[in-house]
Amino acid sequence: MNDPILKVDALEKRFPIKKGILRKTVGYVHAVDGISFELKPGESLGLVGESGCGKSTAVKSLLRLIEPTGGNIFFEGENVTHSPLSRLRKLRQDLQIIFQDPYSSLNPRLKVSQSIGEPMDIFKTPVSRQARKDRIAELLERVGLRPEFADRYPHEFSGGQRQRICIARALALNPKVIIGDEPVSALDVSIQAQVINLMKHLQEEFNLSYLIISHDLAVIEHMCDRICVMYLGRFVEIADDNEMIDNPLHPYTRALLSAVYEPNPGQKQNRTLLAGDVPSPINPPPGCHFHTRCGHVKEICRQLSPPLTESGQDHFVACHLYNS
Amino acid sequence: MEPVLEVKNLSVDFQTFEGKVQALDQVSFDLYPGETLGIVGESGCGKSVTALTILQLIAAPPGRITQGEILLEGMDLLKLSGSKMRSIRGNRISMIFQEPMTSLSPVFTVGEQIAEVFRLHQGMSYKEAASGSVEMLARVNIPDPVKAALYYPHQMSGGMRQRVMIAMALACKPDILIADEPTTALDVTIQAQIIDRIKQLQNDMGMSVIFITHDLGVIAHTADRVIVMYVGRILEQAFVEDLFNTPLHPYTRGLMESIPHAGAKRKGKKHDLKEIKGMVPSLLDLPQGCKFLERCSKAMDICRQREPELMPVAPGRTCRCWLYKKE
Repeated sequence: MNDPILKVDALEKRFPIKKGILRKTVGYVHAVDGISFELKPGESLGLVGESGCGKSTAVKSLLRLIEPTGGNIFFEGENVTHSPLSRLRKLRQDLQIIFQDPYSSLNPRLKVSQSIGEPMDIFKTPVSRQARKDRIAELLERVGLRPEFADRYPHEFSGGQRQRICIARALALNPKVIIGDEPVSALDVSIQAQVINLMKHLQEEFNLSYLIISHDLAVIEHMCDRICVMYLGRFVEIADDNEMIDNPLHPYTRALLSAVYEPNPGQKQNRTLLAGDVPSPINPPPGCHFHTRCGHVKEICRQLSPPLTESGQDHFVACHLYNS
Repeated sequence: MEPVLEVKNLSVDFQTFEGKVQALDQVSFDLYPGETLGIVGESGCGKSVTALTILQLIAAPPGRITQGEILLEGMDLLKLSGSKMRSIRGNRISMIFQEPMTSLSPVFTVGEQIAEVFRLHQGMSYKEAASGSVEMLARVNIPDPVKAALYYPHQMSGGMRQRVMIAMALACKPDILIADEPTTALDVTIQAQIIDRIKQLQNDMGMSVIFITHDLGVIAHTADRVIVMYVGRILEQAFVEDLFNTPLHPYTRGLMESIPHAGAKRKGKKHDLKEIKGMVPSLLDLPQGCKFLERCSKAMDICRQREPELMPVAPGRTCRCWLYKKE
């Protein structure tokens, strides 16, 4: 039972930069630069990082919505990195994704029932019309909407309700893994809590594995069992949720944690303010990608990229400080 | 101390295809010199409309200010002529917007855009204005400001652009800075830099700040006093410590309980977040009585019949809820 349901090995995605009339490739954007992780059944894994760190590209390329340029993806032990489209279609029954923006991820011309029914039509799961209708009603109820909403159009719903519809659509084929790309970032605070709770309940009920992407550490910590921190295409730290919050090792994780504003005005927070911006992924700095903003930079950091090494139980960190 | 800005019974209507909506309903507050007033609320609660109305930047029509006064040191801004108002906007009251991408002009260098403020409001020559803009860029911590002044906005990152916006807003040392979700579009590490910078410049210049955000965490660390808004109304107003230590209105309390805290899971492993049930009602179809009624866990009979007034509950603290009505 402890075999990973999804395994990613040294996944890499580079986008070529083309210039001139001959569209000559003049360089690459290193969006995802060799990341590896495993997702166990029933687990929720969180991916945190700032914009441009490659977290969305990582999940899109592991679903092969964009083709990765290197590495391997295993789903239930099977290498699917180069599987043909026919096989991929089957696979996508089990791997579903929820996007950040519920406004643009539902077709405005389709009724809710059509949007939720579409995956079932593609895979011809419920044979009869009545079964399809019942299933849609059941899904709507499960995500906390009324069954009669099936005949309405997306514009009649609020952001939170639309995100519920997206969740219902993702559940339509009884998937094993759901990938959430910033699933609650576009929602208001009071609605965000409703959707987070809903997703957690669904996970228990259907024994789903979650891969959640967010820039919000508090959301990730609340929803996930294990957290990966990503910076400029690479993982800098992987640890269990509590371990990550209590004992962050990588200077970037520390800075990220100290940049979180806790809703508690009395609490004086010691912020380690990072200087400067994230460097461009077109020409990432040599050595450790973080060395241009790091307060503990040593000579070796400028030359050698630190490998992800174990430092404590199930706690991996990529930093020369812990590499002696 | 005299307030620098007084907003009194401000109401704003918008005419839409589906009917008239009241975006602000009798909003009143004071802003004192040197303080930071936070305005929190969810989308559609009227926090941005409040800011835009103070600067008279709402489009009319469809918007219309139906009643109220906005007094800047006793002078009613709503009675000023267009040109008088222009001399105040960007000079005595200035504003930073959420989207640093769209609020800068793509066809002028950032140096020129900051210099425009100096020329317009202080009648400086091109040369003085140019050196003034370099100085402002240095004050907002932009590295190599001489070179940066020659950049076009697209050559800068989001954080840099927001700094340029701040430089522009503070160029004339305004009395009041209105910051409308200034860090929402930015990454967390950049957000911390920007907030830090705004606070320092506020201390240096002694200006008052109205800080608008949906993020309670940010409000807790920036504001001195906080206003909580909901469907165009003020529901609660308090000093920041009081508000976070003892939130009174059921909505405020609900908001505080519904946000996940980093590290809170350890204490009660795998707990659910408390949620506020339902959703914000449409401005076109507001319930009778208290507008929070349908989502409130403490709703009483009187809440259905009459909407409560914003009543004083403690020194410097008001709340719009029947629970706190003193007999």
